[in-house]
Amino acid sequence: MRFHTCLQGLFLTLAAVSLSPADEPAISLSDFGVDKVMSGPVVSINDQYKGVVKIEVDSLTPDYATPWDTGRYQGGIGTGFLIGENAFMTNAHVVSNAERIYISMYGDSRKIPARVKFIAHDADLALLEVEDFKPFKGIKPFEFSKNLPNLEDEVRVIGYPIGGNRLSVTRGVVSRIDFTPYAHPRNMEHLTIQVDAAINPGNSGGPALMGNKVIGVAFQGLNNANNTGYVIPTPVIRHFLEDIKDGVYDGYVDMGIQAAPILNPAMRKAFGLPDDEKGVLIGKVLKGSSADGALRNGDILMKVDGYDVDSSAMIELEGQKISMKELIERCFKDDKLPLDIIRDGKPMKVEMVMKPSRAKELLMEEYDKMPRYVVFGGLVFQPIQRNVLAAADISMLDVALDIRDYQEDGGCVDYEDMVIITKVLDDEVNARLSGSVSNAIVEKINGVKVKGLSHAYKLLYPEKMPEYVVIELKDGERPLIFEGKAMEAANKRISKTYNIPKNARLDSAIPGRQPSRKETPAN
Amino acid sequence: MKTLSLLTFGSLILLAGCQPRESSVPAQAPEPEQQQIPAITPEQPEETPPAPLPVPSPTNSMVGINATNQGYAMVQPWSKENPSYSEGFGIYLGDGNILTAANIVYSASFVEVTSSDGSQTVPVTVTAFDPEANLALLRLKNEKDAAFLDKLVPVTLGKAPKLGDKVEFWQFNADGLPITTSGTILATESSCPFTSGEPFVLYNVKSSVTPLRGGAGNPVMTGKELIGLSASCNPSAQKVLAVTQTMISRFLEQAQSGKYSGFPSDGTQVTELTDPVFRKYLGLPENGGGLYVAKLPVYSSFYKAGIRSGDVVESVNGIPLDSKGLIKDPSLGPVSANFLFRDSAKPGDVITLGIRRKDKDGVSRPMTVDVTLDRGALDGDLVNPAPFVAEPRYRIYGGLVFVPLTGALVGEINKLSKNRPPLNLVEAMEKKEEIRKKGVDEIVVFLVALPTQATLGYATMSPSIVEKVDGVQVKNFKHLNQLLDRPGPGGTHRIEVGQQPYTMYMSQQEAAKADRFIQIRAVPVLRRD
Repeated sequence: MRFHTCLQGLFLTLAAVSLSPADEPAISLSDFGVDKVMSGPVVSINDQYKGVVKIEVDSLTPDYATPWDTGRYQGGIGTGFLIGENAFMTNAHVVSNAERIYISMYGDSRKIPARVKFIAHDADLALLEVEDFKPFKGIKPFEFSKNLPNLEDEVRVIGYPIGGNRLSVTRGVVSRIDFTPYAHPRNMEHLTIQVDAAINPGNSGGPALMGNKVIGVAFQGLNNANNTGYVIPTPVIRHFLEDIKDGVYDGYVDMGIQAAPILNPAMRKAFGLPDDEKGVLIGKVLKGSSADGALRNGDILMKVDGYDVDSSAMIELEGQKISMKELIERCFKDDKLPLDIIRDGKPMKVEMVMKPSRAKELLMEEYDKMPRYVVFGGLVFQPIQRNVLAAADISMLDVALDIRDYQEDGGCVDYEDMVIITKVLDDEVNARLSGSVSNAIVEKINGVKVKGLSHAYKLLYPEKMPEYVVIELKDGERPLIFEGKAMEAANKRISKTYNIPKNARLDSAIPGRQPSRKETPAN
Repeated sequence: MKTLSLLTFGSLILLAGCQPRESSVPAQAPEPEQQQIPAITPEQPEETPPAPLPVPSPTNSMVGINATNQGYAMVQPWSKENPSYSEGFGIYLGDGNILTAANIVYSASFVEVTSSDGSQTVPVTVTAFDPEANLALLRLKNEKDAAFLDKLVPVTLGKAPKLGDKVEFWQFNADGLPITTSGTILATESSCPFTSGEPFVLYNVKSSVTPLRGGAGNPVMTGKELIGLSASCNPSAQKVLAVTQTMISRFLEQAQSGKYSGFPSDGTQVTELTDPVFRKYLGLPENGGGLYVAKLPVYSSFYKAGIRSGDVVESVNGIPLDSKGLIKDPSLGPVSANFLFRDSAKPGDVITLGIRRKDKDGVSRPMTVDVTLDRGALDGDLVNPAPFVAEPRYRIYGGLVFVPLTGALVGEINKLSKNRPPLNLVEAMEKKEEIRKKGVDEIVVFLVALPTQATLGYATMSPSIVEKVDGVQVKNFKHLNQLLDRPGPGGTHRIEVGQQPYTMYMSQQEAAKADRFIQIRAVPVLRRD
């Protein structure tokens, strides 16, 4: 159970088009004239196509390098499909940062305004609803397949990919079922189905069908490989739909342990374990994680939820060997997981309450949020976060040790954020600061340890400005000193020069948007 | 950042003298009888060169140097790396001493010197080697070659030059013709002539030199006297970077005393005081000078003398520092204050620092502190930063490979990992002072697990810091060996390291079996203490 903080050697491409919205076809071609007999009830192909919708999105992507600016408007196209009364499933990356969403039906040029009901960035899935469902009345929603497909099963992928305006169908077989990193949001890995049916930009969010049942949602391809399309399978989809039943998407939970197999004979002997290939050694328990408090280093994990754990962290479930990770994937927030462990040679039972890992969000690409920042004396303070690092061109490896401390060794428990100075907006007030100021982690302000960005703001903009504002950086050669009485004028001047409307944004919620999404319960 | 010491172990940059030798030139030692032929054939007058004039000149006083550089592979310390070859020049100083640049003869397994006319080549040994100053002293390996030196005219070390002095850059070409190029000492610069560490003040000689053998080890002369030795040449910039007369004289002084220890090296980090707001905050006069002490390790001579971070050093030996930390040298102009306690000093020298420190009431008060200089930056560090280790220590136990963490090892790992070393080692370097508090005086690393029956499942724990053996904190490499040499409880050693799951068990019986196998199969000698 290790964190995957980067995509190793894989170049995944998201299958959504980022183009200006293409023109609608003037006439729709709906007369295929052939009905096809499927396994299960007979469904006309035309009827099936009607449930596959084109999603046109105009998005506003914030610029984390100049977080006070508007950002960039973009258009894009993806696919979605009807799965219930006013519920359209698509990929999260299709509708991320969306300002305006239109849905249009197969063979119908109307653009029907839609909005995001639930979005799961950690599984790249989203559920949309339209303002007016009437045009879709009578269309049969898609049903999900109960089981995972088998290798070599034939699948079809339907959607609106590049290369034309109208609906496209590609066909192929299931090539592989495996854990794969999700390109959106970059640091997640879930079960995926790999197919050799073409999945191209625009296919994102479209259904992959076996017969008339959905086996998954097409979502990404692989750049440097041929005929490699990826589909989000039903277990991940079901997890999402289950999670939102209470009206809130909580996201995936995580145990927060690093476990090691106990293969070495001398080690097994030292732990008094028989030579039966059972049990894994708990190496590291991440501070603040679900396992923190339940497990500790040196424990031997024998059973999870009643299932035997073998020495390579596999469990047998329904006659199949699956990894412990897969079992955890099926859990939800606040699930209680009973564990059988051996601690100091004594068998024990403990219970772990599952929760999502806050620490992991640090390296998750952030969407549908306004970037947070504080500007003081021309120094731009931002929290360490994937978008911020990417925008400031800071290599993840340069702050790897700090990130490890935050994610694993208690940083995320003690701090809200790690605050970093990403740039210096040149002004006379900061012209003589020597040394490397940019990309430095802020340790203390006026002698107080900085707990997060909001805390930094409070310390930088106190009610009564002290004589000197003293900023201490991690590994900084000297404190950065500002004269308190000069700051009000300086901050005003800098705001004007660099066109910064506000000295700080501490709330990342988009005004009037975030709450309404979660309040509406799912059907 | 201006630093007295910037101890980063980045990849080593060989500034010069490191070009592959042409394969047609054999690298092996000349046979003794071949060597003696030119020396004992005066009866063949047509072959005898005319007696050398007793005047120093490139052909009379210089030698060519060929070196085979082959150190131990730090990540596999039982075997040597593939050889590389360096060439350069040396200058004869008399008394059998040939001065050259360290970046030619580093990790040398074989060094030979050639007379300017190419007629004679003899093997030499390196008797003093300072990679920080980029200086090395060579002497003949075999006494029977003494005649080689008889033909050389020694040069003497001249007086320290001034900025603007005219100098000559000496070399000779493949035909044995002297080539001298004139130049001017244009400026000084604060930098490291070879390996990284605390900088020295070096001459920046403006000259249109085309270096013939890498550009290192060439004498920089005024008249017939040596005043500098080139560390590197940059023909496109028409620049020669030369080690100064001051450094050479200190180097020779120590080298000739028999035991060479090196230049004082402190490890204190300082930063300039040009920011008026910072000066005001520190309570310093607006137009004064000084250096701000940013960080100083507990083992530095400054710390031992009572200097603390936050102090402001205003003068050294009564000579005031400007706000960039420079002093006015009568002949070289503004140079880094390092010049006073590194270039021109030796360990044991005492300097007086004039400092300012805030008292209880926040008033900045001047005071003086006497500092006895030493090489604390190297001797006191838990990770010896010396870039070259002649005989790296290691211990193989049951297939687990243990080594002390050194600058040389980190340098090699940096190179192999393209400057992305494993986090555990980065952490160890960053948290050295916390590790010191556990009583550790040398960090020991579990470097790698050789694949044996006994190391099954342990490879993922390497590389990592060795914490404890059988519950006892490992203080240094010698201590680790002692702990592994004595029987473990129940015949099994419990080794704790800094990578999850943190604990390895090694049965002595299995370890012995694995070690026997390794000895036969791969590593004949299991330890170097």
